[in-house]
Amino acid sequence: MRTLIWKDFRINVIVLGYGFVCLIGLTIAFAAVKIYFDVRFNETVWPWPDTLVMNGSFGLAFQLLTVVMLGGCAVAAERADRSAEFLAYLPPSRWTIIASKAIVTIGAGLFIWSVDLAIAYGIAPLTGTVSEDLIIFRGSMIPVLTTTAILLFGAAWCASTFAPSHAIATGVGIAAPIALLCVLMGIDYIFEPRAFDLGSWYRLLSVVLGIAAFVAGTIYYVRRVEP
Amino acid sequence: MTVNTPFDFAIETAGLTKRFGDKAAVDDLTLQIPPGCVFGFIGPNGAGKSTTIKMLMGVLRRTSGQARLLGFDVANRAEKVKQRIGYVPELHFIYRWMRVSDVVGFCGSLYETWNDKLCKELLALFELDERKKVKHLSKGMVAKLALLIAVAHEPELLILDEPTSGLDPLIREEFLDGVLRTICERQKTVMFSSHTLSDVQRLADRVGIIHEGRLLVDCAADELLTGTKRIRIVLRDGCSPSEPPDGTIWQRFQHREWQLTVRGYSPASVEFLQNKYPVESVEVTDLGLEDVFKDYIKGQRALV
Repeated sequence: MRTLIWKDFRINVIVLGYGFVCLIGLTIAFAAVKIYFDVRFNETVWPWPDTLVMNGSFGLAFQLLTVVMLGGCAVAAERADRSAEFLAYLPPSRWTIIASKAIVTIGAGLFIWSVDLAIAYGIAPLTGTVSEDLIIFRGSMIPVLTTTAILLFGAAWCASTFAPSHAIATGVGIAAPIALLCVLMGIDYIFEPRAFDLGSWYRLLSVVLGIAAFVAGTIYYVRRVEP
Repeated sequence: MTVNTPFDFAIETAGLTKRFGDKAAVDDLTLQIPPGCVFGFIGPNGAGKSTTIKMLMGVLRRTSGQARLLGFDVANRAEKVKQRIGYVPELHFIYRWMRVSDVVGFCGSLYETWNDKLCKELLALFELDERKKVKHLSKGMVAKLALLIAVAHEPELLILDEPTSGLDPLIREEFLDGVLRTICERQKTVMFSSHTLSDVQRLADRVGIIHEGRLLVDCAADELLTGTKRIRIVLRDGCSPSEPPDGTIWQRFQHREWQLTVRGYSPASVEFLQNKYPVESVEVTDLGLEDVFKDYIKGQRALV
């Protein structure tokens, strides 16, 4: 299993690199902008707690791409270059192979996500009081981003188990929340006056569909005979 | 060659069939390859060799039939079977970003019986540079790396799917030497498909010919070669052949010359022809595997 995890880590190293650059790069960029404004106007335009909340929230938005690429590349990247055929002739079971991919992609996704959450929720309050506006912004933004990430990953993962290339799987992942939003907005439009809370339903369905897609993709991969 | 094993056949298929839509790529294939046998599996392009091998390796779902390797049903016990099998495909898709040492380490950790000493010997024998990335290796070197991976865990069964296709003669020779070494030193069962019939004639002690998914021949190589002859008969003017002798797999009549390839040849075949037709001259010649193969396929195509 360890060598499979090493192999999957190496296959995803570019995506993980992007995630890492986003994580570090955005933090440095926000800190640099804050310091620049402080020096330029000689007063604190953005206090540190607000800067960190924005850093964490926008960081999560950028990491949506990391998450969907991790899901899309999980299986289909090896199918695209046909190295999946090489792997198929080796002894590991399909459960072991998919478990290794899940460990790497979910593990990396959770790590990146938790660092940004920690910045927004953990480190920001330690540096002072977060302004009321940003508490509201954080409270509305982060649940939507998190549930969207679950749907993005689940849909991309599911598509990755049968798509011939990771580009297609990633595309399916990106299309999933857009499609869900379109469906919900359509229903919302048809049933005027507003019959339900669109935001709540979007968040709920994103989680349910994302997890369902992940489970369906995993079962399909294990049952599938062809690489 | 006989080897003591808990199973009667290293490879056993019964009614193995694979259909792609209406077309049967492999049709009702029944094979029984005993342990220790070197089985040459030959056929024209699209005959169903690779499809058969993929089903045997458990990477292609079969439409119907049974396939057992080393006594195990491939569909149910793929992981267990793969621990005891070495496989070299026609096209190699080893991770291109890995170094040779990475590939060896990666595969070594996946096999319970990986033999580091043998692996080192083969690395030296094949002159594989461990620091080189797979993407920087030549086609021949990648083929040799694939063979190394296939044999370094000392498999009981080695399956080679057109392994020397596209290799230059020198590399092909080195590759075949590696295969021969494995066969001779460890008395393995080997199944290999190839279009290079001289290789098959050199290595195989049993030959199977497949055409359009159906197995035409499955017998000992010696029996096939000694028992199949070309008869060339010149008939007298005005005669034309109507009934060939039993076992005729291919025939051609041109002017007065009648050429027949007969399997299970005996002098009775010639006597039959001499009694039935006004024969001017008869000539019987031996055939190589390539001629036997061609005549089988041409005969089948003529039937169609």
